[in-house]
Amino acid sequence: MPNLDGGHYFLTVLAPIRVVPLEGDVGRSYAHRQQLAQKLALIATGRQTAASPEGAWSSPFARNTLNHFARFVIIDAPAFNGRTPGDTLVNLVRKINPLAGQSVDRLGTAFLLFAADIDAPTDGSDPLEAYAAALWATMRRDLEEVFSHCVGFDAITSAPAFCTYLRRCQVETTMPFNDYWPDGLPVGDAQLPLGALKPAAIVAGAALVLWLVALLLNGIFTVFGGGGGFAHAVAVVSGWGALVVPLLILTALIAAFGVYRKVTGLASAPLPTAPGSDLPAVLKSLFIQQSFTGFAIGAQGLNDAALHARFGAFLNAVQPAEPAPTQGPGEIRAPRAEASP
Amino acid sequence: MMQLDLSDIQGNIHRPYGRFGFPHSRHLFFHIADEDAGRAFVQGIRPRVTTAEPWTKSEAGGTIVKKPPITLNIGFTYPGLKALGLPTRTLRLLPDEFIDGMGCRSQILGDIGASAPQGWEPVWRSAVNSTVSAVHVWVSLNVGANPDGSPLPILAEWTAWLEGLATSSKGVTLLAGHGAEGTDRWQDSSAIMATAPDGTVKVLPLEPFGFMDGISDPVFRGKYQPKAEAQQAIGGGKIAEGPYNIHGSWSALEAGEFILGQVDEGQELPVVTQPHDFARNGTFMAWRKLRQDVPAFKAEMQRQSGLWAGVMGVTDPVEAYATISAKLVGRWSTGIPLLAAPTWADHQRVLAEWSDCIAALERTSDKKVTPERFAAFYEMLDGFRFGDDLDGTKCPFGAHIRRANPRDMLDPVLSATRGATTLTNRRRILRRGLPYADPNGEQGVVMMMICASLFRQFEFVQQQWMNYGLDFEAGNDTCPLIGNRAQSDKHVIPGSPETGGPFIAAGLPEFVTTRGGDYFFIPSLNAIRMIAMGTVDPT
Repeated sequence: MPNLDGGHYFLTVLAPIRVVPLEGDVGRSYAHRQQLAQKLALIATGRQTAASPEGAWSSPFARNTLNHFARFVIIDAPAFNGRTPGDTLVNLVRKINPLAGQSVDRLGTAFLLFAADIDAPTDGSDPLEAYAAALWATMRRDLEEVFSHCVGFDAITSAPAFCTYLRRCQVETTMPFNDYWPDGLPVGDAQLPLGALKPAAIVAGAALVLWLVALLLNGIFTVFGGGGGFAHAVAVVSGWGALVVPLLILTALIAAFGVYRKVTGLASAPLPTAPGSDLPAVLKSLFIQQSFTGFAIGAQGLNDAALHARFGAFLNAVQPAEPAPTQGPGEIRAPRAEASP
Repeated sequence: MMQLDLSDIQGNIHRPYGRFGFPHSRHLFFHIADEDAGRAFVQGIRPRVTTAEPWTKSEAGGTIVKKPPITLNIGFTYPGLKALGLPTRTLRLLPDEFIDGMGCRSQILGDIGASAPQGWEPVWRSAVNSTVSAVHVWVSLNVGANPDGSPLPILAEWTAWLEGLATSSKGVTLLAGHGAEGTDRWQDSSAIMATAPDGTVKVLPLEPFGFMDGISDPVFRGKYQPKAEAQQAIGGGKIAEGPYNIHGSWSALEAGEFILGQVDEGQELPVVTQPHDFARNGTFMAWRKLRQDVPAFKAEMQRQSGLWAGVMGVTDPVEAYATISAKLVGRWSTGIPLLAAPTWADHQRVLAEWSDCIAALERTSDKKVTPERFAAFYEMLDGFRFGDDLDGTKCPFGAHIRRANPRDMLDPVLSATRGATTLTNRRRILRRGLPYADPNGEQGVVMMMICASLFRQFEFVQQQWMNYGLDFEAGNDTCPLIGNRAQSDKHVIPGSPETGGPFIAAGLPEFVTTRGGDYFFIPSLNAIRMIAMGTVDPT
């Protein structure tokens, strides 16, 4: 289930945008698509760059601590990839006129894409329910304004209903991106548990080889004669082999399919949660990293006793094991942990 | 063999004139109010434009022309080409950044704070003040020096001729607005010189902070004869992937990285505009006047050397000062790279080892040095790679020379067998220029960055490598020498149990600020003719 991987839930929602325009008052109406685009343009982004103004409103998604990334996109039409190509000779034989127009894929309505990368609850409860509840509690008005331009949102007035709505519009995320196992998942020397399959395959292979040899010898004896009792034995083996070997091959194919299913099953199981990969942990480590740089600069050239004291002060200010102080969600920089030395 | 049409290419692309016996240069800027007058002005200048034809046998080409006593080169801004009446299609197909001009690109270039266009010298303010006449044409003159170091009289003669040409054309103005008062009529720059006790004046290849400058210049195909090219490419070319061998791994870059209409490192002909002939054998140039705060640099190096001495246990203040400065730049002030001499003791040893070459170059000795010995000296000076310094303990990752030319260290990781890949080979820049010293004591350099794409090469290097550090695993850190300090003011010097450290040079002030400049198109001789005749035809 690629929606869930590495302890992160990758949500992809495609909600159709309403087509019937909103009625206006002075001889004009408002298209939902245009109103939605305006609303999206007005939602604040996180303070993601150094150029973000101090004290500006931050993104409503920064009001929860589940959200690593969130994105709204209006999709008007699928990309046009040109004509379906064909082989010139085949087209000639099939009397396909290359000048005749081909149908072009279109959407019946524009869609709102909502994609988010969020922390899944560690207790195994449903990630989408927890996320929908968190969003509904922190940015309900924004959600109502955005999704009211989408089909089927009219009666949504609660977090569970919002969750149901998201689920209705959800499409499976087939290629999640998660880089919190930067050095790869530690799997040790784990090997595929083949169990008794290996000796069974050896027996089947040996039987096949024996039968093929017997068939060959049987042919030789039949054509050239001779062999006596051995020729008789060879004939018996050839005869029985014709019955047994296809059965063995069938069994082997069934076993191989079973192994294949087991491999794909293992491959589609979600990766475990990477250590320290939930948003609060990521923010805390960014906070510690930035604070430590300041500490390292200030501690240069100190003698052992002074360094010890200085590091104690650093630990006291940063509290590495505690959730606070930390960097806020939606911020590119951590607040200063210690006063300037 | 690859042969460039050197008589069609302007000479400033191939030659840093300062290294060819022209220690003085003068930059004049003109505004064109009238199309016909502008064309007449260009036509008047056209016969005197210096080309890239060889003056000596070691340069490319069969025939040799006589070295002129003065050089002249010309370039045009986008508003300049528009004022000269080029067709809309030719104009609109030019690169976006060239159309924008340097002032518009200040956020990308890091020209913010003290470097912002609002504070540039008056001649450059058209980007922020629409009442200022825009710079349209750049003309530069380079001349040799009299025995007392002053420029040859021909400089004044040609300056007067240019002024006369502008005046007589009725519609072309020489733009004043340079220098401390903002009233100078042109910008001069000259090599730093030293007067010996006997009164003779010697040209020094230094920039105002005291470092030897202009050592590494990209070598591209067709710049030298094939025989000379292989040797010149060591240090100046690109490094092939695989086991490293200084005499086999280096080769010249494709000419299209620096000259339009030639094959480039992307294995394409760079497309600039129509007609093709207009851009062919031309290039682009970023002209920048960069102020260097010499007192601030010296004071800061003094402060850092004290801290460095404490952390690293160095007792000699001269050693501490020289070492911390070298760790910012990547070379010692003598030009010896940290890759060849990582420590102060190594530096002393290398200086002694090559004293014959250094003395011959500085003309302090008449002892002959063989060409082979000189070749080996230049290999030491520039033929290094960063695969020999995987942990940055010799040359810090954030040092100026790594940022300016990362050689084999990127794409994506540094290793002992990776070469220089497209990421680096498509971001090389020809650097031209000389120091300036304005009457008010302001010092710096007039820098000219020449490349086929200002966006891909100059702007990328400026934005991603000089004013950001991620490619060098240096986070937000900027170039310790020329970077702006808006987001970070530190430089990390990696250490190891053997070398001691690490050391973080923090609290670095801004040493270099931009005083003005713009983007220029440097047309071929053929394209200058087309401009002058008004026959640029994109159809």
